[in-house]
Amino acid sequence: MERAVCRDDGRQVIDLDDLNEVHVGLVGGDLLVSGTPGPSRLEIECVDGQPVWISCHDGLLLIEQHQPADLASRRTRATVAVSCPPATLVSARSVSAPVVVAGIAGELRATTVSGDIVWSYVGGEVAARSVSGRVEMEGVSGRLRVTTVSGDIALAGGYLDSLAAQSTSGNLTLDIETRQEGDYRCNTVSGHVLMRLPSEADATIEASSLSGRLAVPAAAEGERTGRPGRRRARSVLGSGSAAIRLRSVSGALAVLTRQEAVAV
Amino acid sequence: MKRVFGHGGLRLFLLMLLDEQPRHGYELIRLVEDRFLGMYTPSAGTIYPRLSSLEEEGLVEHEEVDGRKIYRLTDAGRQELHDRKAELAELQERAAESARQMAGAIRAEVRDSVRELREELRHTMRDVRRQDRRAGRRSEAEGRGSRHARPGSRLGLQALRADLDAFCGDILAAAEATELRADTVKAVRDALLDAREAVVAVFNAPPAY
Repeated sequence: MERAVCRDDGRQVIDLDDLNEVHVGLVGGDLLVSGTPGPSRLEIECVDGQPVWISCHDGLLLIEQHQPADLASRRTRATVAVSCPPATLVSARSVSAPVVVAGIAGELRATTVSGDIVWSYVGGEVAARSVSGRVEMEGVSGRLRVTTVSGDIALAGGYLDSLAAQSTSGNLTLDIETRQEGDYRCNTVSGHVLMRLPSEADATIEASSLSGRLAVPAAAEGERTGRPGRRRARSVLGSGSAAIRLRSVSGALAVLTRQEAVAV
Repeated sequence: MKRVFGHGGLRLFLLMLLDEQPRHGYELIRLVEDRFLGMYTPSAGTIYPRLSSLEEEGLVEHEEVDGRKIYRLTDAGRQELHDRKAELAELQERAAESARQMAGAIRAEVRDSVRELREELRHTMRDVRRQDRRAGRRSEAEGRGSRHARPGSRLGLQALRADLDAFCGDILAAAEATELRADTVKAVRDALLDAREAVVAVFNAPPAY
């Protein structure tokens, strides 16, 4: 199936054969992808600008709306909502459109310029990149990579096998449960990192910053080591099986455990 | 997310699910979730009271199987469902086609969670810092010094401690060299209390310049 949806077409609802791969490229507007056990379907509206191109073959869905260079000032906007099986591979690019995803547990990646990335209960191989968009997730599981320049990153509840979070000036607020042998790294330049772990967390925490304040659980002053110029703090919770590494240049790094408050 | 169901919507939806076959409570929660693209998860606290009120109305009945309640539709329930067919169709239509509102609702929900988390962590960090400050004051009082003390204070404290040690030493030495009568001890203690008051007054006084 191939077709174009124009401004005059209004909102189109298209039933699709079961999807296994979805690629969407938008400029502005709204994008929602949701995993559902029911039949796959696409709801689409070209709100402004060039027609939106749709192609669907053998379970591969492609959706694209271009922004013509000579009409850069004109707004290009589309509303796209895809329902597909939870195991679908989903890949999205957008300039300013927020990418909202729920219930996808296969492979998921999104790249935006200023669009927010908002994900609820996703898992598997998960990757989010944005320049200034905020990345906000709830109930994420699996392996997660997040990268922003100035966008804040927040994970409200997650059970992760691994995490690689990076930002330049964006702040990281993370409430996660760690796994045995899991690997969790956060790197920022000036962004703060505030991480909360369960009270029975089993992890080795290493925090290091050039000039940012450090606060990790139960790190006695004697355990602070370091060469001149770089502050380090190390703390072992439980048997210390998971590895948590936080680094910054000037951002403050803090780790808390649930319930018990922790002294610097 | 409440607006997913208008008034009575969830009730009707539950009747529909039970019309398909008898089910237990958890299964109903999961099915409602599935039907709404995994975006609306009713809690047990939403579903169970709804089921008992349906039971009171005589639309639903239950039996216990292996300690779990299996709910089924009664004839009155089937009649109710039949009477409200149009409403149900509308509801299902809405469930399937409100994807855009769903996106908004998901955003709002995630945003709420994130905001709550930020608030919570901010409060916790504030408490931690407050405890730090308190611990700092305590250790200062215990004379171990503190990195929260102002830089000049540490040297001052050391000097004072030396003076106080010497003061105590002098007084004890004088006391040991004297035969201590009860009135002498009382007089010394009064003098010490006076001295203490004078010293504390110095701490409380505003700086002279």
